[in-house]
Amino acid sequence: MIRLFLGIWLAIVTLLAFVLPMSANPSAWYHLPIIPGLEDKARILFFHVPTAWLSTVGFIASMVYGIRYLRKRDPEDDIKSASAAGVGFLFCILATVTGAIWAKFSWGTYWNWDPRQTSIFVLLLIYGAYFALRSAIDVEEKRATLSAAYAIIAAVVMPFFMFVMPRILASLHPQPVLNVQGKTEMNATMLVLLISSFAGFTGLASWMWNLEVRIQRIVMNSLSGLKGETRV
Amino acid sequence: MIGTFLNPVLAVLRKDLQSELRTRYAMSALIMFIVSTISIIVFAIGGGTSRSDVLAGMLWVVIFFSSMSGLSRTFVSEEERGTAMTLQLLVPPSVVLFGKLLFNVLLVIGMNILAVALYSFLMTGFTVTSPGLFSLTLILGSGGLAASSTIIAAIIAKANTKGPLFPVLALPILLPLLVVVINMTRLSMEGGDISESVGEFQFLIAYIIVIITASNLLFEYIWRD
Amino acid sequence: MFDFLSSNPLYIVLIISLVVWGGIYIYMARLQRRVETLEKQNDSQR
Repeated sequence: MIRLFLGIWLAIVTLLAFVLPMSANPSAWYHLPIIPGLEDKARILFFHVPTAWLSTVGFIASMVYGIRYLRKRDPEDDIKSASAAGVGFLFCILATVTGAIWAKFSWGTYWNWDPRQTSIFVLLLIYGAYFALRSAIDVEEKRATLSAAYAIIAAVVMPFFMFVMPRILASLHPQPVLNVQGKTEMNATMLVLLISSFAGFTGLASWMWNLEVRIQRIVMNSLSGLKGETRV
Repeated sequence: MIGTFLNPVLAVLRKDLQSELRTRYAMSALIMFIVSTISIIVFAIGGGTSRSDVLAGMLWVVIFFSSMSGLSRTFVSEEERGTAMTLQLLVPPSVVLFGKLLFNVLLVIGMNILAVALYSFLMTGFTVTSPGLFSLTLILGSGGLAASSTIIAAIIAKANTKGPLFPVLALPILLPLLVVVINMTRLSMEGGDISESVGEFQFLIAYIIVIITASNLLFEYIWRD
Repeated sequence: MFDFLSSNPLYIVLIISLVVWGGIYIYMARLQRRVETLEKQNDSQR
Protein backbone atom coordinates (compact mmCIF):
# COMPACT_ATOMS: atom_id res chain seq x y z
CA MET A 1 0.00 0.00 0.00
CA ILE A 2 2.73 2.45 1.04
CA ARG A 3 4.84 1.25 -1.90
CA LEU A 4 2.01 1.90 -4.35
CA PHE A 5 1.62 5.38 -2.89
CA LEU A 6 5.39 5.94 -3.16
CA GLY A 7 5.34 4.92 -6.83
CA ILE A 8 2.45 7.24 -7.67
CA TRP A 9 4.10 10.03 -5.67
CA LEU A 10 7.41 9.74 -7.55
CA ALA A 11 5.60 9.48 -10.90
CA ILE A 12 3.71 12.71 -10.18
CA VAL A 13 6.88 14.48 -9.03
CA THR A 14 8.74 13.36 -12.16
CA LEU A 15 5.88 14.47 -14.38
CA LEU A 16 5.51 17.86 -12.69
CA ALA A 17 9.28 18.43 -12.89
CA PHE A 18 8.93 18.35 -16.67
CA VAL A 19 5.59 19.95 -17.38
CA LEU A 20 5.24 22.88 -14.96
CA PRO A 21 5.78 26.05 -17.02
CA MET A 22 8.47 28.56 -16.15
CA SER A 23 7.85 32.29 -16.23
CA ALA A 24 9.92 35.37 -15.49
CA ASN A 25 7.43 36.70 -12.92
CA PRO A 26 5.43 33.76 -11.56
CA SER A 27 1.79 34.72 -11.08
CA ALA A 28 -0.22 31.50 -11.13
CA TRP A 29 0.33 28.92 -8.39
CA TYR A 30 1.80 26.39 -10.81
CA HIS A 31 4.48 28.68 -12.26
CA LEU A 32 8.16 27.97 -11.62
CA PRO A 33 10.55 30.95 -11.63
CA ILE A 34 13.20 31.35 -14.33
CA ILE A 35 16.68 31.25 -12.79
CA PRO A 36 18.99 33.38 -14.98
CA GLY A 37 21.63 31.31 -16.75
CA LEU A 38 19.86 28.01 -16.06
CA GLU A 39 16.35 28.33 -17.53
CA ASP A 40 15.02 24.86 -18.36
CA LYS A 41 18.23 23.24 -17.10
CA ALA A 42 17.13 24.24 -13.59
CA ARG A 43 14.66 21.35 -13.78
CA ILE A 44 17.43 18.80 -13.14
CA LEU A 45 17.34 20.13 -9.59
CA PHE A 46 14.48 17.74 -8.84
CA PHE A 47 16.61 14.70 -9.80
CA HIS A 48 20.21 15.71 -9.13
CA VAL A 49 19.92 17.31 -5.69
CA PRO A 50 18.06 14.38 -4.02
CA THR A 51 20.74 11.95 -5.24
CA ALA A 52 23.51 14.15 -3.79
CA TRP A 53 21.54 14.41 -0.53
CA LEU A 54 21.07 10.64 -0.34
CA SER A 55 24.75 9.92 -0.95
CA THR A 56 25.54 12.03 2.13
CA VAL A 57 22.71 10.52 4.17
CA GLY A 58 23.85 7.00 3.28
CA PHE A 59 27.37 7.80 4.48
CA ILE A 60 26.15 9.32 7.75
CA ALA A 61 23.76 6.41 8.37
CA SER A 62 26.61 3.98 7.75
CA MET A 63 28.75 5.82 10.29
CA VAL A 64 25.96 5.98 12.90
CA TYR A 65 25.31 2.24 12.66
CA GLY A 66 29.07 1.71 12.76
CA ILE A 67 29.22 3.53 16.10
CA ARG A 68 26.29 1.46 17.35
CA TYR A 69 28.09 -1.71 16.30
CA LEU A 70 31.22 -0.75 18.21
CA ARG A 71 29.10 -0.10 21.31
CA LYS A 72 26.83 -3.12 21.29
CA ARG A 73 28.59 -5.68 19.04
CA ASP A 74 25.29 -6.62 17.41
CA PRO A 75 25.89 -8.11 13.89
CA GLU A 76 22.56 -6.60 12.83
CA ASP A 77 24.05 -3.11 13.15
CA ASP A 78 26.96 -4.05 10.88
CA ILE A 79 24.52 -5.31 8.24
CA LYS A 80 22.59 -2.05 8.46
CA SER A 81 25.80 -0.04 8.22
CA ALA A 82 27.07 -1.92 5.15
CA SER A 83 23.67 -1.76 3.44
CA ALA A 84 23.37 1.98 4.02
CA ALA A 85 26.81 2.39 2.46
CA GLY A 86 25.70 0.27 -0.52
CA VAL A 87 22.64 2.42 -1.23
CA GLY A 88 24.63 5.59 -0.58
CA PHE A 89 27.30 4.46 -3.06
CA LEU A 90 24.67 4.00 -5.79
CA PHE A 91 23.33 7.52 -5.24
CA CYS A 92 26.86 8.90 -5.07
CA ILE A 93 27.57 7.47 -8.53
CA LEU A 94 24.28 8.83 -9.83
CA ALA A 95 24.97 12.30 -8.39
CA THR A 96 28.43 12.30 -9.99
CA VAL A 97 27.16 11.21 -13.41
CA THR A 98 24.16 13.56 -13.50
CA GLY A 99 26.33 16.42 -12.25
CA ALA A 100 28.89 15.74 -14.97
CA ILE A 101 26.23 15.71 -17.71
CA TRP A 102 24.83 18.98 -16.42
CA ALA A 103 28.35 20.49 -16.23
CA LYS A 104 28.97 19.58 -19.86
CA PHE A 105 26.11 21.82 -20.96
CA SER A 106 26.55 24.60 -18.41
CA TRP A 107 30.33 24.85 -18.08
CA GLY A 108 31.42 23.16 -21.31
CA THR A 109 33.32 20.26 -19.72
CA TYR A 110 32.23 17.11 -17.95
CA TRP A 111 34.71 17.63 -15.16
CA ASN A 112 36.48 20.78 -14.01
CA TRP A 113 37.32 20.19 -10.31
CA ASP A 114 34.73 22.54 -8.97
CA PRO A 115 34.61 22.33 -5.12
CA ARG A 116 31.31 20.46 -5.29
CA GLN A 117 32.67 18.02 -7.83
CA THR A 118 35.79 17.55 -5.74
CA SER A 119 33.71 16.85 -2.62
CA ILE A 120 31.59 14.25 -4.38
CA PHE A 121 34.78 12.72 -5.81
CA VAL A 122 36.22 12.40 -2.31
CA LEU A 123 32.97 10.83 -1.13
CA LEU A 124 33.28 8.32 -4.00
CA LEU A 125 36.87 7.59 -2.93
CA ILE A 126 35.75 7.01 0.65
CA TYR A 127 32.96 4.66 -0.42
CA GLY A 128 35.42 2.81 -2.68
CA ALA A 129 37.96 2.49 0.14
CA TYR A 130 35.23 1.31 2.53
CA PHE A 131 34.17 -1.51 0.21
CA ALA A 132 37.77 -2.40 -0.63
CA LEU A 133 38.43 -2.77 3.10
CA ARG A 134 35.31 -4.88 3.63
CA SER A 135 36.19 -7.24 0.80
CA ALA A 136 39.72 -7.69 2.18
CA ILE A 137 38.62 -9.19 5.51
CA ASP A 138 37.04 -12.64 5.89
CA VAL A 139 36.23 -12.87 9.59
CA GLU A 140 32.85 -11.24 10.21
CA GLU A 141 33.54 -9.53 13.56
CA LYS A 142 36.86 -8.17 12.35
CA ARG A 143 35.30 -6.87 9.14
CA ALA A 144 32.51 -5.14 11.07
CA THR A 145 34.86 -3.52 13.60
CA LEU A 146 37.45 -2.32 11.12
CA SER A 147 35.00 -0.96 8.56
CA ALA A 148 33.09 0.87 11.31
CA ALA A 149 36.36 2.38 12.55
CA TYR A 150 37.27 3.47 9.02
CA ALA A 151 33.84 5.04 8.42
CA ILE A 152 34.19 7.04 11.63
CA ILE A 153 37.69 8.28 10.76
CA ALA A 154 36.53 9.30 7.29
CA ALA A 155 33.48 11.10 8.71
CA VAL A 156 35.67 12.96 11.17
CA VAL A 157 37.87 14.25 8.33
CA MET A 158 34.99 15.38 6.07
CA PRO A 159 34.36 18.72 7.89
CA PHE A 160 37.99 19.70 7.21
CA PHE A 161 37.36 19.09 3.58
CA MET A 162 34.25 21.26 3.59
CA PHE A 163 36.37 23.97 5.20
CA VAL A 164 39.40 23.74 2.93
CA MET A 165 37.78 23.51 -0.52
CA PRO A 166 36.09 26.94 -0.77
CA ARG A 167 39.32 28.65 0.36
CA ILE A 168 41.35 27.12 -2.44
CA LEU A 169 38.90 27.12 -5.34
CA ALA A 170 35.99 29.37 -6.27
CA SER A 171 32.74 27.62 -7.03
CA LEU A 172 30.54 28.10 -10.07
CA HIS A 173 27.95 25.69 -8.71
CA PRO A 174 24.52 27.29 -8.35
CA GLN A 175 23.31 27.53 -4.79
CA PRO A 176 19.57 27.74 -4.84
CA VAL A 177 19.14 25.22 -2.01
CA LEU A 178 20.16 25.29 1.62
CA ASN A 179 22.36 28.37 1.39
CA VAL A 180 23.05 30.34 4.50
CA GLN A 181 22.26 33.81 3.21
CA GLY A 182 18.72 32.78 2.40
CA LYS A 183 18.92 34.33 -1.06
CA THR A 184 17.03 31.57 -2.81
CA GLU A 185 15.73 32.25 -6.26
CA MET A 186 12.94 29.73 -5.76
CA ASN A 187 9.30 30.40 -5.21
CA ALA A 188 6.95 28.35 -3.06
CA THR A 189 5.93 26.03 -5.92
CA MET A 190 9.51 25.10 -6.74
CA LEU A 191 10.33 24.58 -3.06
CA VAL A 192 7.29 22.35 -2.48
CA LEU A 193 8.11 20.28 -5.55
CA LEU A 194 11.74 19.98 -4.47
CA ILE A 195 10.76 18.89 -0.95
CA SER A 196 8.30 16.37 -2.42
CA SER A 197 11.08 15.01 -4.60
CA PHE A 198 13.40 14.77 -1.57
CA ALA A 199 10.68 12.91 0.35
CA GLY A 200 9.95 10.54 -2.55
CA PHE A 201 13.58 9.66 -3.22
CA THR A 202 14.32 9.26 0.49
CA GLY A 203 11.37 6.86 0.76
CA LEU A 204 12.63 4.92 -2.24
CA ALA A 205 16.16 4.76 -0.77
CA SER A 206 14.89 3.50 2.57
CA TRP A 207 12.94 0.78 0.75
CA MET A 208 16.10 -0.25 -1.13
CA TRP A 209 18.03 -0.20 2.14
CA ASN A 210 15.39 -2.41 3.77
CA LEU A 211 15.62 -4.99 0.95
CA GLU A 212 19.42 -4.97 1.07
CA VAL A 213 19.40 -5.49 4.86
CA ARG A 214 17.00 -8.44 4.54
CA ILE A 215 19.09 -10.11 1.83
CA GLN A 216 22.32 -9.70 3.80
CA ARG A 217 20.62 -11.04 6.92
CA ILE A 218 19.62 -14.23 5.06
CA VAL A 219 23.14 -14.60 3.65
CA MET A 220 24.62 -14.27 7.13
CA ASN A 221 22.18 -16.74 8.68
CA SER A 222 22.76 -19.33 5.95
CA LEU A 223 26.54 -18.96 6.38
CA SER A 224 26.34 -19.52 10.14
CA GLY A 225 24.00 -22.45 9.46
CA LEU A 226 26.60 -24.01 7.13
CA LYS A 227 29.29 -23.62 9.77
CA GLY A 228 27.03 -25.41 12.27
CA GLU A 229 26.53 -28.31 9.86
CA THR A 230 30.22 -28.85 9.17
CA ARG A 231 30.91 -28.87 12.88
CA VAL A 232 28.47 -31.79 13.46
CA MET B 1 51.07 10.99 36.58
CA ILE B 2 52.43 11.92 33.16
CA GLY B 3 55.50 9.80 33.83
CA THR B 4 53.43 6.66 34.45
CA PHE B 5 51.91 7.09 31.00
CA LEU B 6 54.98 8.37 29.22
CA ASN B 7 57.46 5.74 30.39
CA PRO B 8 55.70 2.73 28.82
CA VAL B 9 55.09 4.81 25.66
CA LEU B 10 58.80 5.52 25.42
CA ALA B 11 59.48 1.85 26.07
CA VAL B 12 57.33 0.89 23.08
CA LEU B 13 59.09 3.54 21.02
CA ARG B 14 62.52 2.24 22.09
CA LYS B 15 61.53 -1.32 21.25
CA ASP B 16 60.42 -0.25 17.76
CA LEU B 17 63.55 1.81 17.19
CA GLN B 18 65.75 -1.12 18.22
CA SER B 19 63.99 -3.59 15.94
CA GLU B 20 64.08 -1.02 13.15
CA LEU B 21 67.82 -0.50 13.62
CA ARG B 22 68.31 -4.28 13.53
CA THR B 23 66.33 -4.99 10.37
CA ARG B 24 66.37 -1.57 8.70
CA TYR B 25 63.24 -2.61 6.79
CA ALA B 26 61.22 0.63 6.91
CA MET B 27 64.28 2.82 6.49
CA SER B 28 65.64 1.08 3.41
CA ALA B 29 62.16 0.92 1.82
CA LEU B 30 61.67 4.64 2.43
CA ILE B 31 65.09 5.64 1.15
CA MET B 32 64.81 3.54 -1.98
CA PHE B 33 61.33 4.88 -2.64
CA ILE B 34 62.42 8.50 -2.27
CA VAL B 35 65.46 8.04 -4.50
CA SER B 36 63.51 6.25 -7.23
CA THR B 37 60.53 8.63 -7.32
CA ILE B 38 62.73 11.72 -7.33
CA SER B 39 64.89 10.29 -10.10
CA ILE B 40 61.78 9.55 -12.18
CA ILE B 41 60.65 13.14 -11.72
CA VAL B 42 64.10 14.40 -12.68
CA PHE B 43 64.10 12.24 -15.83
CA ALA B 44 60.58 13.39 -16.69
CA ILE B 45 60.87 17.14 -16.28
CA GLY B 46 64.64 17.51 -16.35
CA GLY B 47 64.99 19.45 -13.11
CA GLY B 48 64.82 22.73 -14.96
CA THR B 49 61.25 23.75 -14.18
CA SER B 50 60.71 26.75 -11.98
CA ARG B 51 56.92 26.62 -11.75
CA SER B 52 56.34 26.66 -8.01
CA ASP B 53 52.97 24.84 -8.10
CA VAL B 54 54.42 21.90 -10.08
CA LEU B 55 57.48 21.67 -7.82
CA ALA B 56 55.45 21.88 -4.60
CA GLY B 57 52.98 19.27 -5.85
CA MET B 58 55.74 16.88 -6.97
CA LEU B 59 57.53 17.14 -3.61
CA TRP B 60 54.40 16.05 -1.75
CA VAL B 61 53.70 13.29 -4.26
CA VAL B 62 57.15 11.90 -3.41
CA ILE B 63 56.51 12.26 0.33
CA PHE B 64 52.99 10.76 0.19
CA PHE B 65 53.92 7.63 -1.75
CA SER B 66 57.16 7.07 0.15
CA SER B 67 55.35 7.17 3.46
CA MET B 68 52.73 4.80 2.02
CA SER B 69 55.49 2.28 1.33
CA GLY B 70 57.19 2.47 4.71
CA LEU B 71 54.63 3.34 7.36
CA SER B 72 52.31 0.37 6.92
CA ARG B 73 55.01 -1.78 8.53
CA THR B 74 54.48 -0.46 12.07
CA PHE B 75 51.57 -2.72 12.92
CA VAL B 76 51.93 -5.34 10.18
CA SER B 77 55.30 -6.42 11.57
CA GLU B 78 53.74 -7.04 15.00
CA GLU B 79 51.07 -9.24 13.43
CA GLU B 80 53.55 -11.12 11.25
CA ARG B 81 55.97 -11.87 14.07
CA GLY B 82 53.06 -12.77 16.35
CA THR B 83 54.13 -10.26 18.96
CA ALA B 84 50.82 -8.36 18.86
CA MET B 85 49.35 -10.72 21.47
CA THR B 86 52.20 -10.15 23.93
CA LEU B 87 51.92 -6.41 23.52
CA GLN B 88 48.16 -6.62 24.12
CA LEU B 89 48.73 -8.41 27.41
CA LEU B 90 51.52 -6.18 28.65
CA VAL B 91 50.35 -2.60 28.04
CA PRO B 92 47.04 -0.70 27.57
CA PRO B 93 46.07 0.09 23.96
CA SER B 94 46.61 3.84 24.17
CA VAL B 95 50.23 3.25 25.19
CA VAL B 96 50.80 1.11 22.09
CA LEU B 97 49.11 3.74 19.91
CA PHE B 98 51.20 6.63 21.19
CA GLY B 99 54.43 4.62 21.06
CA LYS B 100 53.78 3.71 17.43
CA LEU B 101 52.69 7.27 16.70
CA LEU B 102 55.94 8.70 18.05
CA PHE B 103 57.93 6.17 16.05
CA ASN B 104 56.07 7.14 12.89
CA VAL B 105 56.52 10.86 13.55
CA LEU B 106 60.28 10.37 13.90
CA LEU B 107 60.37 8.23 10.76
CA VAL B 108 58.35 10.72 8.68
CA ILE B 109 60.35 13.75 9.84
CA GLY B 110 63.64 11.98 9.07
CA MET B 111 62.29 10.87 5.71
CA ASN B 112 61.05 14.36 4.86
CA ILE B 113 64.37 15.98 5.69
CA LEU B 114 66.11 13.50 3.40
CA ALA B 115 63.50 13.97 0.66
CA VAL B 116 63.72 17.77 0.78
CA ALA B 117 67.53 17.71 0.81
CA LEU B 118 67.66 15.38 -2.19
CA TYR B 119 64.89 17.25 -3.97
CA SER B 120 66.48 20.67 -3.62
CA PHE B 121 69.84 19.20 -4.68
CA LEU B 122 68.47 17.61 -7.87
CA MET B 123 65.72 20.05 -8.82
CA THR B 124 67.48 23.32 -9.53
CA GLY B 125 64.25 25.29 -9.72
CA PHE B 126 63.31 24.42 -6.14
CA THR B 127 64.32 27.36 -3.98
CA VAL B 128 62.61 28.19 -0.70
CA THR B 129 62.48 31.93 -0.08
CA SER B 130 60.85 31.85 3.37
CA PRO B 131 62.51 29.00 5.32
CA GLY B 132 60.49 29.62 8.51
CA LEU B 133 57.17 29.02 6.77
CA PHE B 134 58.58 26.04 4.90
CA SER B 135 59.98 24.28 7.98
CA LEU B 136 56.74 24.82 9.93
CA THR B 137 54.80 23.39 7.00
CA LEU B 138 57.12 20.41 6.83
CA ILE B 139 56.86 19.68 10.57
CA LEU B 140 53.06 20.03 10.77
CA GLY B 141 52.64 18.12 7.50
CA SER B 142 54.79 15.29 8.85
CA GLY B 143 52.78 15.26 12.06
CA GLY B 144 49.47 14.98 10.21
CA LEU B 145 50.83 12.38 7.81
CA ALA B 146 52.15 10.26 10.68
CA ALA B 147 48.96 10.64 12.74
CA SER B 148 46.57 9.47 10.05
CA SER B 149 48.82 6.74 8.66
CA THR B 150 49.28 5.27 12.14
CA ILE B 151 45.57 4.58 12.60
CA ILE B 152 45.16 3.40 8.99
CA ALA B 153 48.15 1.07 9.49
CA ALA B 154 46.45 -0.34 12.60
CA ILE B 155 43.34 -1.11 10.50
CA ILE B 156 45.37 -2.56 7.61
CA ALA B 157 47.34 -4.90 9.88
CA LYS B 158 44.17 -6.88 10.58
CA ALA B 159 43.16 -7.23 6.90
CA ASN B 160 44.21 -10.04 4.55
CA THR B 161 45.64 -8.04 1.66
CA LYS B 162 47.89 -5.46 3.19
CA GLY B 163 50.07 -3.82 0.58
CA PRO B 164 47.79 -2.22 -2.02
CA LEU B 165 45.03 -1.33 0.45
CA PHE B 166 47.09 1.18 2.41
CA PRO B 167 47.21 4.07 -0.09
CA VAL B 168 43.57 3.40 -1.05
CA LEU B 169 42.41 3.88 2.54
CA ALA B 170 44.82 6.69 3.35
CA LEU B 171 44.23 8.97 0.36
CA PRO B 172 40.71 10.22 1.23
CA ILE B 173 41.81 10.84 4.81
CA LEU B 174 44.99 12.67 3.80
CA LEU B 175 43.61 14.68 0.88
CA PRO B 176 42.59 17.82 2.85
CA LEU B 177 45.98 17.83 4.57
CA LEU B 178 47.84 17.43 1.27
CA VAL B 179 45.87 20.22 -0.42
CA VAL B 180 46.71 22.68 2.37
CA VAL B 181 50.33 21.59 2.67
CA ILE B 182 50.99 21.82 -1.08
CA ASN B 183 49.48 25.27 -1.11
CA MET B 184 51.71 26.39 1.77
CA THR B 185 54.83 24.92 0.16
CA ARG B 186 54.05 26.90 -2.98
CA LEU B 187 53.57 30.00 -0.84
CA SER B 188 56.92 29.50 0.90
CA MET B 189 58.65 29.24 -2.49
CA GLU B 190 57.02 32.46 -3.63
CA GLY B 191 58.17 34.27 -0.50
CA GLY B 192 54.99 34.33 1.57
CA ASP B 193 55.10 35.35 5.20
CA ILE B 194 54.15 33.18 8.21
CA SER B 195 51.58 35.75 9.33
CA GLU B 196 49.71 35.33 6.03
CA SER B 197 48.88 31.69 6.67
CA VAL B 198 47.78 31.62 10.30
CA GLY B 199 44.47 30.10 9.21
CA GLU B 200 46.28 27.21 7.51
CA PHE B 201 48.38 26.54 10.61
CA GLN B 202 45.26 26.46 12.75
CA PHE B 203 43.76 24.07 10.22
CA LEU B 204 46.75 21.72 10.37
CA ILE B 205 46.92 21.74 14.17
CA ALA B 206 43.17 21.11 14.44
CA TYR B 207 43.49 18.26 11.90
CA ILE B 208 46.27 16.60 13.91
CA ILE B 209 44.39 16.96 17.21
CA VAL B 210 41.14 15.60 15.77
CA ILE B 211 42.83 12.62 14.10
CA ILE B 212 44.77 11.71 17.25
CA THR B 213 41.65 12.02 19.44
CA ALA B 214 39.59 9.85 17.07
CA SER B 215 42.43 7.29 16.83
CA ASN B 216 42.70 7.15 20.60
CA LEU B 217 38.96 6.43 20.90
CA LEU B 218 38.89 3.86 18.10
CA PHE B 219 42.21 2.11 18.62
CA GLU B 220 40.93 0.12 21.59
CA TYR B 221 38.33 -1.56 19.36
CA ILE B 222 40.76 -2.17 16.50
CA TRP B 223 43.59 -3.47 18.67
CA ARG B 224 41.66 -5.97 20.80
CA ASP B 225 39.81 -8.58 18.78
CA MET C 1 23.92 15.92 -30.88
CA PHE C 2 25.57 18.47 -28.57
CA ASP C 3 24.06 21.40 -30.46
CA PHE C 4 20.64 19.79 -30.46
CA LEU C 5 20.80 19.22 -26.72
CA SER C 6 22.08 22.66 -25.84
CA SER C 7 19.29 24.27 -27.85
CA ASN C 8 16.69 21.95 -26.27
CA PRO C 9 17.71 21.82 -22.60
CA LEU C 10 14.54 19.93 -21.67
CA TYR C 11 16.12 16.83 -23.26
CA ILE C 12 19.12 17.18 -20.95
CA VAL C 13 16.69 16.99 -18.05
CA LEU C 14 15.16 13.90 -19.68
CA ILE C 15 18.58 12.24 -20.02
CA ILE C 16 19.42 13.03 -16.40
CA SER C 17 16.15 11.63 -15.07
CA LEU C 18 16.65 8.52 -17.22
CA VAL C 19 20.17 8.11 -15.79
CA VAL C 20 18.77 8.27 -12.26
CA TRP C 21 15.95 5.80 -12.95
CA GLY C 22 18.27 3.54 -14.97
CA GLY C 23 20.74 3.43 -12.08
CA ILE C 24 17.97 2.49 -9.66
CA TYR C 25 16.74 -0.14 -12.14
CA ILE C 26 20.21 -1.74 -12.38
CA TYR C 27 20.44 -1.79 -8.59
CA MET C 28 17.04 -3.48 -8.34
CA ALA C 29 18.06 -6.06 -10.97
CA ARG C 30 21.14 -6.84 -8.87
CA LEU C 31 18.99 -7.35 -5.77
CA GLN C 32 16.73 -9.66 -7.81
CA ARG C 33 19.71 -11.77 -8.91
CA ARG C 34 20.94 -12.11 -5.34
CA VAL C 35 17.50 -13.19 -4.16
CA GLU C 36 17.40 -15.81 -6.94
CA THR C 37 20.76 -17.31 -5.94
CA LEU C 38 19.57 -17.39 -2.33
CA GLU C 39 16.41 -19.22 -3.44
CA LYS C 40 18.49 -21.74 -5.36
CA GLN C 41 20.72 -22.38 -2.35
CA ASN C 42 17.65 -22.80 -0.20
CA ASP C 43 16.17 -25.39 -2.62
CA SER C 44 19.37 -27.42 -2.86
CA GLN C 45 19.74 -27.54 0.91
CA ARG C 46 16.30 -29.11 1.30
